[in-house]
Amino acid sequence: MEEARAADPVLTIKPPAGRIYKKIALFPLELPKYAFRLATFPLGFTSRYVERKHIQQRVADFLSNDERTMWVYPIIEGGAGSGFGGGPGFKYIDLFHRGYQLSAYYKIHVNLDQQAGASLEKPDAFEILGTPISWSFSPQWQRSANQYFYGIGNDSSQDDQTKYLINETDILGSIAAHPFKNFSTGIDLGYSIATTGVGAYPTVGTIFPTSSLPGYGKWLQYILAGITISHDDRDNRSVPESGGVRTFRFLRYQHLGEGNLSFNKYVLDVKQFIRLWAPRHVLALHMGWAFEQETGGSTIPFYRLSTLDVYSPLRGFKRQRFVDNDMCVFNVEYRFPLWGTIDGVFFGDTGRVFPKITDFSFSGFKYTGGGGLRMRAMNTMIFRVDVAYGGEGVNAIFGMSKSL
Amino acid sequence: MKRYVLIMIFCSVLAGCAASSALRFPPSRWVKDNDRMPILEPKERWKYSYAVGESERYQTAAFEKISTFIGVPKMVTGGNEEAFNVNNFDESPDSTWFTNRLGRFDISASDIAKGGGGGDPAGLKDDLEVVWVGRGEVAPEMIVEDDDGTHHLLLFDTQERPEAATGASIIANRLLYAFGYDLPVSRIVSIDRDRLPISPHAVTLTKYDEERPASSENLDKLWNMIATDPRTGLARAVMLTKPDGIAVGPFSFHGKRYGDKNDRISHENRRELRGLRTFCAFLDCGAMVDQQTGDLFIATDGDKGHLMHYILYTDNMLGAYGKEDAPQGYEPAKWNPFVSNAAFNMTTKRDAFWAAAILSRLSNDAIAAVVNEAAYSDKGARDAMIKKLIDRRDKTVAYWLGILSPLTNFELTTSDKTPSPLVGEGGGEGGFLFTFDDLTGKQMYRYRLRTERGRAVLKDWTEIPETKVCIDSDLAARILKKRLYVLEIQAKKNGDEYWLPPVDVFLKRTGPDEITLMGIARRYR
Repeated sequence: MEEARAADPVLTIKPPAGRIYKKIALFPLELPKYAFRLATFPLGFTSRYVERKHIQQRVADFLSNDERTMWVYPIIEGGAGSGFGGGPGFKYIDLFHRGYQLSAYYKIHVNLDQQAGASLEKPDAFEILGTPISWSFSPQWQRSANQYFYGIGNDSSQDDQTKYLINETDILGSIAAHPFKNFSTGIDLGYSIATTGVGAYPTVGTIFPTSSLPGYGKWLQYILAGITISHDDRDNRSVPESGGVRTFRFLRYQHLGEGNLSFNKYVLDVKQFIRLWAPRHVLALHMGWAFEQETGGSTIPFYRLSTLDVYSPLRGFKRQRFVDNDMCVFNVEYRFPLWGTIDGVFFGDTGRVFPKITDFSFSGFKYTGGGGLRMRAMNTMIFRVDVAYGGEGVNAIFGMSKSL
Repeated sequence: MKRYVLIMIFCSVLAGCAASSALRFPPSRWVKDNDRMPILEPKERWKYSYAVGESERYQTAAFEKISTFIGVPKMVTGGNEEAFNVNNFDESPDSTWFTNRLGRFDISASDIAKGGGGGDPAGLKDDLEVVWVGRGEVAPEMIVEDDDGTHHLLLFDTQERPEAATGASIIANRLLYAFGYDLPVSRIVSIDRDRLPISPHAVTLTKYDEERPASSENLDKLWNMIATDPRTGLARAVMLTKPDGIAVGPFSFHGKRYGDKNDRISHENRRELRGLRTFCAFLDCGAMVDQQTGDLFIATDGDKGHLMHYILYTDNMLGAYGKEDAPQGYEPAKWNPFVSNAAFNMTTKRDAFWAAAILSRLSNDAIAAVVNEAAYSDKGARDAMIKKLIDRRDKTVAYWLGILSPLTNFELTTSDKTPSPLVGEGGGEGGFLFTFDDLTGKQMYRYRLRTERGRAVLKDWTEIPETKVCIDSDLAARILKKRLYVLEIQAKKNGDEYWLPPVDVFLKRTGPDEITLMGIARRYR
């Protein structure tokens, strides 16, 4: 063999010359990539340092127990009109070693808006005729003197920004059956009590007569009853790369007390994640519809109307920016790996609110576009930063909440 | 904006004009890359950088596809470009990365089974000291130093899967070496705890990869994870002897190594690293990452030398850690690694074909001989492994050789030197005999001879029953000097409706009585 090899011609093998010309010619196409990386270079450097020093693992060790079943973590969020906020969060995913999942959080913002919530769940708690049944119970509370109200309708003006106070407590229990893989159907029962009042300046009464706002200034109590049908085949709940979740929900808000403020709410939400040419390159599509229907000549409290805002998400607009009976939103998001633990994202959002389904048209849609970063650790998204523009100024949002 | 778009379109068109010739090299099927030029020892790469570079690798690999995705035609961007380091005959040169072995020579089953050590019978030496104790996260492992100062990696089986990791390691080591990659010398050894005193300088790693002094307790803790024979207390291990040279960290499957002037081809564009994907499919290796590899600096001229590129770890192959294929079994078309790398992402059909052609030369006897080296105690396990490897080889070869033309080993000889009835019938003095091999066999063939760009067809499609083409003296006389001619050859199985994509064989008259085979191009369609 060696004799045969000795006779082989020895060459200095280089890439084909055409490759160099091609690289030069295609360089303009690469400019956006280099620009993005240049802009985020400090993050990339930090990301490398974090990986090398196993800082994520150290933090995880600090925040959780050895079995990784219990976590105590900080919550940090801000932007989109709510200001900087934070608080502690807690999660136990195998309580008493019996599969109970308990989570709780408390958040307070610099403007003293507060939120708290808890959830107790038992997936696959028992079976009925071979069908696994799960249940959950989740109380939520919020008190905010900085709820925005711009008026009802798609044409509400940014200049009409007012604020009101809301104090709301919801308790919701659900029982769901899982007859097929990834599919669940369940019934929801709950109770909600809320009141509104004078909030921070400018108060809602300075522009909108409070007498014209249904439910304003009263304690309103509701019994909630409904159904949820869901199909969820995402490969990962936090940073999905394939599959999707499709949910239909009907909820009856039965008003208790004087006046007729009962209504029905229908929500259709579809998310689909498409893995592109390589891991972490994901196209995320979202479509959301919400319809609220008055029943028997009732009216819907103004703060319970369908909302199209930064959390819908229409990320170029602030909280509670558009409200009306019905709402639709469409989102496209492209995620790509930027650095070791940081993904970049470009997105486009569009949507509108409308009073009745017969009033729906494709005109008047609001559009936003933007980009952001997603920091991930151990296959979980732990922090996000988004910057979006929708014609009403640049919106910067950061926090630990999930996007799409 | 409009200006920017116009510039992009202009540049894209310009890129399309930059087509590369398939005939860049001398007309020799086997060539050697001059990549051992003396360089200074490069800086050590961080050994866990596979995690750091992951996103960049994907990004670069994906970029080619993004360009296509956003509307730049594939003919302009090239999609996944073909490997850069292939010669005129679509072969990978001998280099510090790869040495043509099974693909070039007939190697006996026993030689393949011997692997890189050439059957070195040396087992464990007596004076061993443990100098590095692993954490045992994936596999229990440790590094021992013998009295010569040579380091050996001892890789053990876990109690849950006895003989799995060591068996896989040996088999994959032998086979990859036969295919042409560089791997450390490996052998199966049996060892007990008493023969492993810990060195006073021994180190271990914390779970955050920080080096700490190792103690006997660390070693005992690791030993408790290891599968041992309950009767003798001996543990079975695969011993990988560190190759000569200074370890400078792993190589990357993407980009080039900074400081290595011999590293002229981006690794994701190297044929042997792309083709490794097909070998990994055959070896049921779901993850091939930088961490499994190693570069060694060989000093040849004072403080200067060159790098050699090794695949070090092969214990995660053949389902050793329990990751199995889909329930329907192994399907080459659908096989994807659990953890990919840029070179695998860039693999083209020609890369896979190249690897499958080498794999087709691996005989059943060689597979059996290699599996015997793994010294499975259970004959059933041994037979199952042989069966698995034969099955995977057959499926891999059948799939990839069915996509492109399976014709190879092209040779051109003058008729007067080669007695053949065919030449006698149609050739005669001044004619040429063109022969080739069919890796799948039992096919029908046809050929035509044309000028390079097809402006003139010297001989239209002609069916032939054998793997021989006679270029008679009249036809040979029409092959003029200074012009390139293409002999297109197609094959199909008896009964098939369609011919497989052709192989273009480039011919050139290099003398009054001499026609030279300049190279080949295996076409997609």
